[in-house]
Amino acid sequence: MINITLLKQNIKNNYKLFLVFCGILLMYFSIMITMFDPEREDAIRAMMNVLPQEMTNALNFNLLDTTLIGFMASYLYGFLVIMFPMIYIIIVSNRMMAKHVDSGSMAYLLATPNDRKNIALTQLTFLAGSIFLLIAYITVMGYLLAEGFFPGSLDKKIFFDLNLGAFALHFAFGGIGFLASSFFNETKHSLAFGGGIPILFFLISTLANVGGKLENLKYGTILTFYNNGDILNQIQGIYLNFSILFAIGFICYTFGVVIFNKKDLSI
Amino acid sequence: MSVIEIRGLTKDYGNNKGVFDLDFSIEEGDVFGYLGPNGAGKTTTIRHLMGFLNPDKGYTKVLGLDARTEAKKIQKRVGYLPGEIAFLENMTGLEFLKFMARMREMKDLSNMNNLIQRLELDPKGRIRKMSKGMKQKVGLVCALMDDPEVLILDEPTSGLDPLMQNVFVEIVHEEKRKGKTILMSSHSFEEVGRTCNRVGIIKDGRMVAIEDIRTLQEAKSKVYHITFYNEEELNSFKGICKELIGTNNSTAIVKITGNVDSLLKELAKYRIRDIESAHQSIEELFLHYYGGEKVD
Repeated sequence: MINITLLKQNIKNNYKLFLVFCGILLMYFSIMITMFDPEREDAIRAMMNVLPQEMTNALNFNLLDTTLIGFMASYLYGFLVIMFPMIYIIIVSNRMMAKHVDSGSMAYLLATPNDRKNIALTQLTFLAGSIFLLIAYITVMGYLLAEGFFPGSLDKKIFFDLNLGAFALHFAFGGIGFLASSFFNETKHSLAFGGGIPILFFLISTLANVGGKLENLKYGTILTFYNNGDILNQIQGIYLNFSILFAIGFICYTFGVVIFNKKDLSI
Repeated sequence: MSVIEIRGLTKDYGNNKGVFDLDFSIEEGDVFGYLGPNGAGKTTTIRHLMGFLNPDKGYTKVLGLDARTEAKKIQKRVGYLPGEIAFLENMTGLEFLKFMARMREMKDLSNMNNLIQRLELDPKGRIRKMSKGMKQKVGLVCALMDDPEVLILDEPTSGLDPLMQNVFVEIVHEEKRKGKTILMSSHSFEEVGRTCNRVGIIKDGRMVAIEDIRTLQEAKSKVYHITFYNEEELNSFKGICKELIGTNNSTAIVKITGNVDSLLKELAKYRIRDIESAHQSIEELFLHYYGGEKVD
């Protein structure tokens, strides 16, 4: 169903970008984890206390508890693990479909004995696969750093759930990006929707985190299904929330393929 | 069975853009020239043949298969040159061609290397930095390398220098001898005249004529500028020639439709310094072919 030659070409075209994001995440993870101090009030918490409460709320930087996993859930999984993979997904999902149609190179891909479904599924596989790899990388790297600096203090179950949730969230973002990329013929439109909607969700959740009346905004963003506090406290509904995110992603990917299979291509 | 079959094909983009009720077929071994001015609907037709567009009405079939729904089966047997040059990013010519060969599951690359040599393509450079002509050569190699039964070429000679155009014409003749069916679009009558045996003329999305190339060539008028040795000779020629449309010093301007035989025989009686033929554009050909009536 998928074309290995095209998949390899995608890897060749995108591995540098992937490595850049791996590098950025490695840098932030190592800086943040070394700032954790189980004994005293850690440096980062002192820094956060200087900022107004609304702001730390908005950035999801509220320290959930004083354990290592609480620290990581707040400072890493509340913001960085959402934002950086999201940017990667916006760039790559646009490249997968809309860019080939916009530039016209899709004409060459479709002039080979591969139908539209094969091409779309190949591009989807690369996108979803690379999202999985990015989160898997974050999981392994985070685990190694935590164990390296603070052996034995990481709650592995919660840490795994945080990463599983992050994957579910980004799988859904990838679906939105892929759907936009398959639907629009021009990259500017694909980027506006495929990038705009996840960014909008992110901004809404930032506002909702501030609390008060704004809290109701949480019903307007899919980030509500990825709540680092709930995961940390192992609330029962988290897996249902993750399933909803996976379902959103799955529906978007399916529609993307179906739409691309049917639409007019002026290439 | 027709190799390419277009029945009642309509794609309306509004503002009289698109194609309307196209109805024609191309038989096995035909080299079909698809002629028309820019924006007439040539590329839109070809996109339907490639299965890129959904017809509003009608259908297109290639090798007896529906172009839209059975594209995958068709593509293995079709070589396609898009009208717009756009390749995958950041590849050299050779990388791109090898990539396309793998996408087509081609085993034998000798034909590819052969074409690279014949078209004098330097495939090592990055495609992005190539000149328009070089890019066109990459596209041509790509369309021809898998030795397909059917060739669909959208403006194949655009960007090629006259020498390379000749090589292209040679290649088309060879493919024709191998029994290939070829559809090529063009806005140059001269180009089509050198390669095709049948011509379809499209204007404003409607097919206005499908003719044998000879019929068209006969219908086509040519203007000759004939310079005589001196004005006396010109004057005596003026008396006899009916097709004269003007003079200039000792040059007669003659417009001939069809056969030039009688003109040449007449001219043999004179001393001629120079004879030049002026080419005719498609628009002029239209006007002539339809007796000066406006076609809509």
